[in-house]
This record gives sequence, C-alpha cells and structure tokens, in this order.
Amino acid sequence: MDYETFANAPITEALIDINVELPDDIEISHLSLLHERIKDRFPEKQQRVSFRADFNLSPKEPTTVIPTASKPDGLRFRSPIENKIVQARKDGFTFNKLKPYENWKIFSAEARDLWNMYKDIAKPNKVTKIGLRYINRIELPFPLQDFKEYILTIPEIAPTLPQGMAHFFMQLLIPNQKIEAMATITETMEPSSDISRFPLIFDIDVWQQKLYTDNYDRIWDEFEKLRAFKNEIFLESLTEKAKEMFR
Amino acid sequence: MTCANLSLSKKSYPSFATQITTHDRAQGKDSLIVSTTYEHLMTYTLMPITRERANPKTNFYRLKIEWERDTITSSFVIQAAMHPAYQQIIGMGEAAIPLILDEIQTKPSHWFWALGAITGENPVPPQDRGKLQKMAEAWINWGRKNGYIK
Repeated sequence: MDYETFANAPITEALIDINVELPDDIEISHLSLLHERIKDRFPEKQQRVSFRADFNLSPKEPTTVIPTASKPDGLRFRSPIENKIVQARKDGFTFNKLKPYENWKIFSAEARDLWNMYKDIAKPNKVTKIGLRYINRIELPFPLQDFKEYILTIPEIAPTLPQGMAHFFMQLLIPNQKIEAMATITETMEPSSDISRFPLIFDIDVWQQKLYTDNYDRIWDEFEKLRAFKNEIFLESLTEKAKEMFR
Repeated sequence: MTCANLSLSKKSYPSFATQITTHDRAQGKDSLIVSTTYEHLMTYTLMPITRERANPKTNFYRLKIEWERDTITSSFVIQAAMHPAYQQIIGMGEAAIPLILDEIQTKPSHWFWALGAITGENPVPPQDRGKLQKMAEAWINWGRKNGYIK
C-alpha cells in the first residue's frame, strides 16, 4: 500500500527493534564481530551499559531513584555522518536512524541487512518481540486556539474547565487484534521558553510480542504490517492543516 | 474516546517496568524528553505509599533499602534475617523469588535464608555452605532450572 510521503516529515528518530534470546555461550565479545563487518559505515564503537536503580520510597520524604548497579549489555556502533546507530545487545538488535529520515524502503532495507549480520554472528535461539518506533516533533504555531486544529489524538479537558494547559504527558496502549500487535502512543511537549511555538513530541511505538524460533525472514512481513498500523495512527491523528505543514 | 476491548493474550501486555526499559533503545534528543518526563511521572505515581505497597517490585525495594540500612553494620546473619523488613520480604512469598535472584546475580548477599524459607529448598552443596559466591551460583542455577531467571 502506498502512503503519502511528506517532504518535511516531522520524524526525528525511527528505530527497528528486535528482541531475542541468545545461546548462553554468546558473550558481548562475539557481538564485536559485527563491527568488523560494518566499521566502514559505522566507525564509532561504544559499550552499552544498562543501569539498575532502586526507588527510595518513604511517606515522609520525596521519592528518589538511586542507581545501584550497572553492567555492560551490548555494543553500539555509530555513523556520525549519517546519524545512524546499530545496537547489538545480548537481548536484541536495534537500528536507529536519526533525522534526516529518508524513506521506509531505504530504512528497512538497511535494517534487514544489518539484522542478517547480527543473526549470523549471534545465532539467536528465538525472536521474542519486534517493534517499530517513530518519534515525531511537531512544532505547532502559537497562539493555539485548539489542539484539534492540528492533532486529534490528544488529552481532553472537560469543556466547563479552563482550557489552558501548561504541560502534559499522555500514553495510550492500543491493541490491534487483526495483526496481534499493540501501539504505545506517547505524547508530551518539550518545555520551551519560546512562546511562539509549541513543540509537541508524538511518539508512535508499534510492537508485536510473538515467538519466532525459525525462518526469521517472516518478521519482515510482520514489520510491513506494523508499518501500516503506525502510518494509520499517524495519518489519522493529524488534520489536513497539520499535514500541510509537512508538505 | 472509549475503552478498547483488550482481548489479546495476557502475555502481549507489558509491565510498567518493560515500558521503562524500552525507552533506552531510542537514542535521540526527543526520546530523552519522553523518557525523562516518563520517569518523573513514575516517581510521582509511586509516591503514595498505598500504590507502592500494591506493587511487589517497589514493595521489595522499599523493604530491601530498610533492611540494608538497619543491618549494614551487622555481621550476624541470623540477626539480619530476623529484621522485620527481611521477614516481610519472606512474607511476600513467590513474588519475591525473581527479585531476590536478581539481587544475588548483581551482588551476592545474605538472601539465602529468605530463599530457603520461601521455597523450602536448599540447592547449595554441603561443601559450599558459607561460601557466598558459591551459594549465590547454586541459587542462580536453581532459579534458571525453575524458570525464575530467563
């Protein structure tokens, strides 16, 4: 299916994420073999570290988060020129493309190529979850009379209350039973001192938690379905006036 | 807006914790705005003590902090295990097992009493008793065999 593509699409980051279970004997050092294959395109290599934190909760004191432990969980290979990142972790693979985003064909082809290399090296026992996430930044012009001039998936205040909103964070989980997927839609705004604009972050994460133990090529058919679901959420949430800003 | 009919299988739904961890997969500045705001929201949501107690994970970490704070200078295992917070962790039952196993994977400590009390098992071979690292390894293997560690 063809979708309208926007010359000034508001995408600031797109990522394809594949969660896996690796054999016990695969260590982070194995994953660096991937870098040997791609270091011409992704010259920077960094260790990824996962952090653990304790919540310090007390009825008398403010809640605090205390970092308690950190451990390496994989590697990150970066292309600073093209703003692309490959993450090879013990729990999965992620390909991130930061702004400027070109199109799905180029993005998914490169992700697939990189995944195939990761798969050959890490030999996953199974794929446990796949996800496709697009983070958009929509600079709404001020003064703004009504969000619904631009975006239709928004928090709603009772009409008898003051309609001004200083800040918000909204997260929705929407199931799509037809493709056995979920969408996590997150919207918030960047705190800004510039009163002439309203930077809205519109984050669409569509994912499927399903086990694949062989023929991993099937996941790319599922990514096409996830993409259609993501596009539906994006296009149906925006008004013509908003779309006009991106054309 | 109406509530959706959620009839997918239960495993399709993430816990809050899963949602938090997914945020670090994204790398850009805008994803940082989302995750920072989300963390603030989580902290704000967890602040009421009743909500915290309803969540096994936050309940466990609250009790763990209390236990560690009060027993940090104690080298007596029995004294530490008799602490009310430690006893409350035992009282959490099976819900505490994966959380304790997660703890001993990071830092072997005196959690073996609690694991034994909850599970009724002792996978530590006699020759390894008293050796913290070996005891932790025995329990971690037990956790893997019994599906508490993936």
